[in-house]
Amino acid sequence: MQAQAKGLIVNLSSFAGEQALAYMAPYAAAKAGLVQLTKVVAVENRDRGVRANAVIIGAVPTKQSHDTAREVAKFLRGPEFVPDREKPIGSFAGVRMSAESVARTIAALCCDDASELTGATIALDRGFSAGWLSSTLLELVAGQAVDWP
Amino acid sequence: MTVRLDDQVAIVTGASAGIGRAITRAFVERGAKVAGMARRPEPGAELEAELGPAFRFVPGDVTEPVACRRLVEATVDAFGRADVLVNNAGYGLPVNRVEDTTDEDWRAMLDANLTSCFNMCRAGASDDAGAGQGTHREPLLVRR
Repeated sequence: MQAQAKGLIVNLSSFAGEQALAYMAPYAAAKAGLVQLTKVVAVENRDRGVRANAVIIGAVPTKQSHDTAREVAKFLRGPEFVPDREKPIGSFAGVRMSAESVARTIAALCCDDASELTGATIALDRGFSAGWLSSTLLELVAGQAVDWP
Repeated sequence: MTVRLDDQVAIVTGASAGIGRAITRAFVERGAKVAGMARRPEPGAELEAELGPAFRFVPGDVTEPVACRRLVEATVDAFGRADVLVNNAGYGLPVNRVEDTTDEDWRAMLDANLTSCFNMCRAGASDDAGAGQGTHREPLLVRR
């Protein structure tokens, strides 16, 4: 990338790297570290045409995210706990995104017109890290019907 | 309007499943050539069969620096260069309280989610293995 003076690095971080996610300390620490690694790479390569951006990925239903959510549920509620199949744990209905829509958004970040975008931490989470959770709590306090995860 | 990625060569880690597979498909659909790595060879081979010559699968573990250099070399061999590196590989399990987290789990999670990306950034930024070592680097700030 440095030799051709053109390149883009996209590092997939997580909302766990920005906000505390209890019982997942190593994951959260690693994802927070990844944001900082991204910034350093961006600055070191700013004159070499190599860009680096971190993307904060929100709730995406994949086998891996379902497995993680299931393990969190078992950790909190005991090993005998069986999640409701009709309402998968960790669905985050209000901010859920498909893997395909996440992929399309990342493709858009890779076009040449984004040539000045580097060192950025981009929320790709439908507003989750911007305050969706706290705003949803406000709705809950106000007694409104909420689309709770 | 759909973005086109014609003539772009991308590397995607964790390409065989979930978000990584979706990124790989999206990039190829938009005209890019993609090299992908994952530990399990079977899903990668299936994706190779699905996407054809625009996708090259390299089995390996991105927590190993040697595997990362091999992936970059395979990309350059197959497609001539690397323009985009997507560090997607990682995982969140196991869950535990800090005081109950084992040394092994801590190290494995840091390796999988952070060191892997360091390995790929190091290998990908300089394209050929070792090119960045010992060579002169411009200082970040030039005193005038």
